[in-house]
Amino acid sequence: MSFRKTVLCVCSTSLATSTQYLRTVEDIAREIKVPVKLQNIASQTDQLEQWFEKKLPAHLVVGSPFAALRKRVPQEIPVVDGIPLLTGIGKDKVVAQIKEILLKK
Amino acid sequence: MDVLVYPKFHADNREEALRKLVDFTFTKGYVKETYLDAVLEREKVFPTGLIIKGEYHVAIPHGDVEYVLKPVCAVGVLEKPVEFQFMGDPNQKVQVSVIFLLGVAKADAVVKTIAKMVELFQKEGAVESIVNAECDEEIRKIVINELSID
Repeated sequence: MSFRKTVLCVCSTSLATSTQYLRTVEDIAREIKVPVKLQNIASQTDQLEQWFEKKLPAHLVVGSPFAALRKRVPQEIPVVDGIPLLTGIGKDKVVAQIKEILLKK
Repeated sequence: MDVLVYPKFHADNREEALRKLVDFTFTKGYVKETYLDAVLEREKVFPTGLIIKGEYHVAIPHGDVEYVLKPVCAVGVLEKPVEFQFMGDPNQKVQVSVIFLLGVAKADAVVKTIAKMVELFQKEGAVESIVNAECDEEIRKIVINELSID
């Protein structure tokens, strides 16, 4: 049975920038052959808190803005800044981070 | 998602810039009259300025779906940069030269255009060529070319 890693993609509305994060994570996951389950989350709602309250799985959170997001996610779950994926500045580093996290056993 | 190009314009500040661009999309029937307030309010809480490589920076303001009638991406080039806050850190300022006002209606409809928009931000010299275009027609050509989905 394949073990899918759940990745939460977060931006304010979950309709614009997080779709781009989702796309990028999807491409990365395909490249490194790691099955993922992707979920868009609107940070302007309490969807994020609800997710963790229901004890739903999350192996990685990609979103913006990083500082505010980091505070809302349990410490043991890695949070990666999504902005470099939009701007290209620091993108390689973020992509490498995502790969490393997804490849972890 | 329809891509509209607004003629190169002047604005003294972020509010004025957004007002002009939102009015443009409103008169063309893409958004409700209430969209302007939605965009202005959102920008205060969830800023959309983006610092990209090169000399010129962008912003991707948008409001909630309930105010949008038809999905749209309205591109406006400013004669002089206007200050926005950085999406990654609201305490950081960005001098924005090109605004990509988004009217997001449903996720599916906009994903490809947003992907193209992000590609444009990361393509060397692309935003610069828009800012330095000789006339509105040239701006339109570049934008439509870069954002059109094959």
